[in-house]
Amino acid sequence: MRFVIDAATLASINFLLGLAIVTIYKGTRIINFALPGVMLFTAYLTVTVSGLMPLPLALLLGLGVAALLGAATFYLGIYPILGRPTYVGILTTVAIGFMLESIVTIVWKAGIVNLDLPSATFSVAGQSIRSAEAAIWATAVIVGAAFGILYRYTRLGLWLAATADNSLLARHRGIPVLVVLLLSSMVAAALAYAVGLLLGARLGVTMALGSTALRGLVVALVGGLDSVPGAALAAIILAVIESAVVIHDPRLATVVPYVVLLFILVWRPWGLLGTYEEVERI
Amino acid sequence: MSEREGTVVANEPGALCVERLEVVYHRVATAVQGVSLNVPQGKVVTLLGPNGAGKTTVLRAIGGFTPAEVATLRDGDIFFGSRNIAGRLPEETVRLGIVAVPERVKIFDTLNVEENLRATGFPLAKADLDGIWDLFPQLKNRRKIRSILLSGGERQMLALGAALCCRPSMMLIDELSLGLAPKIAAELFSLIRKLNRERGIGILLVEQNARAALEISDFGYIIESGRIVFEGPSAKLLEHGDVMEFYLGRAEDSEKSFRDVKQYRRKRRWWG
Amino acid sequence: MVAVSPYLSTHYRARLYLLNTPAWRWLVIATLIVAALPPLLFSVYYVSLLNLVLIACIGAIGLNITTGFAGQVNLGQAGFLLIGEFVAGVISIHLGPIWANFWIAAPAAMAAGGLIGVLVGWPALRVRGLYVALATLAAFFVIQHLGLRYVEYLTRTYKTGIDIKLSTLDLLFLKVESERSWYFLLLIITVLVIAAANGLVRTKAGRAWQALREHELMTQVMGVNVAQYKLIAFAVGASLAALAGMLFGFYHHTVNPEAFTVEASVEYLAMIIIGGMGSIAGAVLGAIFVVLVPYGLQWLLDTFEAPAQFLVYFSALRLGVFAFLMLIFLLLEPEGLIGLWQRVRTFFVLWPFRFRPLEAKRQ
Repeated sequence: MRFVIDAATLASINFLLGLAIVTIYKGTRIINFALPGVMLFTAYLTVTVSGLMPLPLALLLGLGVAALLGAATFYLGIYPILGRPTYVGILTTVAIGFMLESIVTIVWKAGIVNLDLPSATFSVAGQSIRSAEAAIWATAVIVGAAFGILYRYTRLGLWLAATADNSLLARHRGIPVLVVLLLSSMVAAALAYAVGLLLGARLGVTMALGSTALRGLVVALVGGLDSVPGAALAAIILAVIESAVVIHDPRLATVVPYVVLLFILVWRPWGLLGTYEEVERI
Repeated sequence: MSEREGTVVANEPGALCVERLEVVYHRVATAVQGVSLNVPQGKVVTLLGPNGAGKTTVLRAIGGFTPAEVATLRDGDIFFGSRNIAGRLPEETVRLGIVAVPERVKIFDTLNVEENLRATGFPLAKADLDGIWDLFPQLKNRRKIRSILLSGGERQMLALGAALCCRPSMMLIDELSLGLAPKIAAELFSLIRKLNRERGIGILLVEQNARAALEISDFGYIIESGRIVFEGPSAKLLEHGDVMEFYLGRAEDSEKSFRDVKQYRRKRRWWG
Repeated sequence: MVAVSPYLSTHYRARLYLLNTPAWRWLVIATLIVAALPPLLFSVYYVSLLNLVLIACIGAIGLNITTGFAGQVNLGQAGFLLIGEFVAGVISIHLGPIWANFWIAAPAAMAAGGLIGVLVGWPALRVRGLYVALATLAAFFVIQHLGLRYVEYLTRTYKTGIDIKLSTLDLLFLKVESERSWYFLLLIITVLVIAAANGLVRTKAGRAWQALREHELMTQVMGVNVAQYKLIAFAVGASLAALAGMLFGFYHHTVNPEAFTVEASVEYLAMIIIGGMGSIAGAVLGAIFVVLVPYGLQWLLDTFEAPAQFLVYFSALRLGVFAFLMLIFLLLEPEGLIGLWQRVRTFFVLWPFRFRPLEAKRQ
């Protein structure tokens, strides 16, 4: 039973991280490698600031900073390179992520800071569940549902698909590409921030958060880079596999996502539920 | 504005007036220079010329360059009505009613037909959608098919339909007939004329098929190597010797055979 | 066959020669003479910097072939550098230091690199663009993990500790010990690599790479075996990186599995981007730039007596500055330093005009 709880928590985290990647990919076909940096920076900042001001205010400040970083990522890393090949987008966001990580290392000296969130433990079916874990599940479900509905049933989803296909043509059709992509970037950053906080509440904020963020990438890829339900499915699968492997040999935990990644890239590159992108016209 | 035929009255709403346009690519290569043309309100104007003359550049300059395209407007103004739209972004010109139908990438390949029509910044009412199906019954049959699977003619129809969904008062059409079967191209040309007559949409048409373009247009310009070399009402262009020889494929005194001709081409004089 | 001008060849062969005009020949000779000077003029510290630059050049040229020419974005170049290091270590430990001389280690490293390059490139055959980059990234993590496991195994079995020690590089007629001798060895190797790379891109493979970079489907339609050339591109890039890694290991007398991380992969990619993709001279320029930036930064900090906090976290600062520069180049000068050079050249060629004028006369 404990296994199920742990796997569910892991799956929720995977899903939220994957969702952040999907959000950016949906409009731009770029993978936002700046998200680990954003997560680290905002988490450290919020925790530091929470000693100086009431907690809700600190949380809001962190959210604001996350949104700001998302906007900065857009203006520096995404908008200028819209017409160019995709790997350029990878590299610009990687650069932004590195800059953020280096700032974090210098300012906070790579230490551990703990977030004192009010927490409670309650029992369900004989297993104790911490409030942080429940919060993670709740966030994943609510946010996931909201995004799924947003993309499926509103025009926004269509706009994003069109922009990802050809941003120049989308602009010529009157789609407000800048606004849409800016918002996407800010939302993705906010998601990363939320995950950073949730993880930090459980284990304390450390530099390891950065590598955790990369699993969002694997989740998104396995599920399909532009698919929210795909990310959910992949999050669950990956969480189950990883939990099972960890019981067997803990050190393999870090490499499991990458092996799964290689496998999916060879077998089905566009992911489980992603759009089949291989058709090409000469 | 100059005293030439086809002159527009200043500030005529809905008229496009390009003056002395100069576009440079990659900060070094001049593509067009000193290009001036007018599209009076509700008229069809065609822009002819050989490959690489700069026709597409002119259209894209009017529609608006994005930062990613390494092109700059070095000089010149573009007036739509009384507004100067030179250097504006595509989103802005579309809002003003100038909609482009590009040459190559004209539809969203990953979306299906109906999604393509909806993927604009303008709301699409059922009545509007039905209007599009009426114009293009062929598309209605394929409304849920991914548009990468459409034939060339259908793609062009979809591109025109999507442009119409953007509520245009002026359309910039680049190479309408490129790669299409003559019958389909003819259908599209008459459609363009219909759109112009019935809805009052002004059209700036870039074409290689000079005869068809001149037959449906009111006024024509000829651009070569980045400069306008000739202009006039379409009827006059159809009878002009140089135009006939180089763009319509027939010399003034036809029935010449290669064996008789020492100099194959008449020199381009653009006098008449 | 010396042509008078590169534009007036009398047969096709002449276009393929590397140094086909007198101007080129003199330029290369002059460059070689200048390149041979540093050990005689500068102090050992600067010579050691140049050694690092030369090693990076080899890896960068390899990456340039995989990514710049063939268009296969390789985020895992650091993995191949690791492989080169480990081959040196493996030979040294399992076969004995006698066997770990240059003439055995270098081909072994290159062969291992080439083989694993093919293995890494194989999943990349099925996918395009972005996915290739991710597959190489994943491959890198797997390689790194395997490397760490191997070092653990060594620590248990051979009690060598986390760093495998290597003896000095042995050329069999000479032991390369001082910075100066290293410099000359590296210079010779780098020059050979540059010549080989230049020759390689002039062959059928080079043309195939450029074609498949531009439009893969069309290239395939024209009958070119895209899969084969992609694998060759990976193999060449990987084997050059392995060679660089091997030299790196011997230069530092140690095999450190954490010497090449993801950041190193990004650094190599930055080298070819900053230098100019698809250009071998660009790869060299980029390597010089990227390797020297941290030392320039260090010098800046020393001169301006920065607060101690900066010095303590120098590696983090270095990463941040480097990332910043990479971003600047990506945004402002996409064609890299070579592009910059070409724009400067165009400026002088066109002067006093600013733009290339149109051909026809003004009406």
